[in-house]
Amino acid sequence: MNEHDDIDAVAAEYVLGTLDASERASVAARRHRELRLDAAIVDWERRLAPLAEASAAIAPPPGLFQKIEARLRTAGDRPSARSGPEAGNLVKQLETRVTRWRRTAIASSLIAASLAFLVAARETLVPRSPQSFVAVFQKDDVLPAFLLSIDLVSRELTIRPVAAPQQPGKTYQLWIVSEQTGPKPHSLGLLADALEPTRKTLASFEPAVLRRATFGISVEPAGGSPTGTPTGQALHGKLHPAAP
Amino acid sequence: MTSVSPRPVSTTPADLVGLLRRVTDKDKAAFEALYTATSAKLFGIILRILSRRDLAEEILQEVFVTIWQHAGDYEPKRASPVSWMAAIARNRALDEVRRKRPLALDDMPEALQVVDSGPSASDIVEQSDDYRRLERCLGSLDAEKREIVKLAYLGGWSREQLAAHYGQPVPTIKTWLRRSLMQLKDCLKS
Repeated sequence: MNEHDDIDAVAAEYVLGTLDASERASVAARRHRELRLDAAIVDWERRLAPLAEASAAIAPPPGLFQKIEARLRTAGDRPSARSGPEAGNLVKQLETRVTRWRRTAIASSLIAASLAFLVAARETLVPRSPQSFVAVFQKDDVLPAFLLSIDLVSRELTIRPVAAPQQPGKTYQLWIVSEQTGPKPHSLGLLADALEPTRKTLASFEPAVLRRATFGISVEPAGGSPTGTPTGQALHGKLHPAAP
Repeated sequence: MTSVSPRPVSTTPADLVGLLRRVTDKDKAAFEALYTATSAKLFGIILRILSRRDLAEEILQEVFVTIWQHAGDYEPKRASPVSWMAAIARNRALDEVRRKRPLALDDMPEALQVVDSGPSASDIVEQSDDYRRLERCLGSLDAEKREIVKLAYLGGWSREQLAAHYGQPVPTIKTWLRRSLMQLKDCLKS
């Protein structure tokens, strides 16, 4: 059994539902940084979904929608520490949140924590223009965290390291998976410096394609991936409107 | 099971894609329409896995909060809207059921109905080509293997529960599951 079969078998059992609690948590965390595992899970979901879709519907009790609305109101009213849009301040806030998130992640399931982190990060971002989008690259105990922001009008992209250790002999490489570039990750180049923001202009991409794309950052040997696809551990994220 | 919904999801997938897009823009009316169209389907999926109404109601609420917050993550190219929402519901229900002490079969009088709970009469007209193809491929498995796949996928049964029910060691169940899944994959390709 090669590595590809193994990923597929894990994805299959994850979707079937027969993994135990710790195996499920591990797969849920891994799929955020392993694009191939994530793709295999989505394939299995598509294969088996007709069975769920064809199973009998059961009406939930009346009044349940009102309870959901009440939850959304509570979530929306949660006080948030809004402050000026300057980047340094934003990075500081994110660093605090990353630290808090790491502590939370140890106690609860990684997936739930990463969702909370995304939501929390969104609260702190002040919109610069309606075409401003951000993606948060999350961090666990081994991987770094980055904040990617993009202006779809100018197609200018900025990657700001939040907590990314400079590793000797290693470099971070940026990838995109988009309709324009096909199902395989396409390199957008290396991050010049793990400690400073990197700016890139993606003039060859349509804004609508960028809006729906998945971005990835992987750890690669100095000089970048030798194979043209991500070889090291990778993080990935999608764009969210910078305005809440 | 009680109060089976009188009607299946009558909204077309294209309608649901439109609703999800509007939910991304925080459109509450679209969110309510999405709930009306899909909540019975998702509740059925969750309740069959959890076998407890109070818990299933709680999880359904969480699932719709997640859909509200993450509708922007939905990609029409990767999955149908119902498939995307069903995955959220199944994952949440499975996380919940795996965290708990496994229920004894006696605690789950409805559990075995999973295998027979095919589409209701009104759903049959709406059966998709995908469903027919999957059923045909499931039909190519031995009866016992087919039942195991359905109990796991629809009923949320663990390997241990399946092992106890079929009087087999857990590793055997694991092997059966993997082989059955790979056989399904090959069949669906052809």
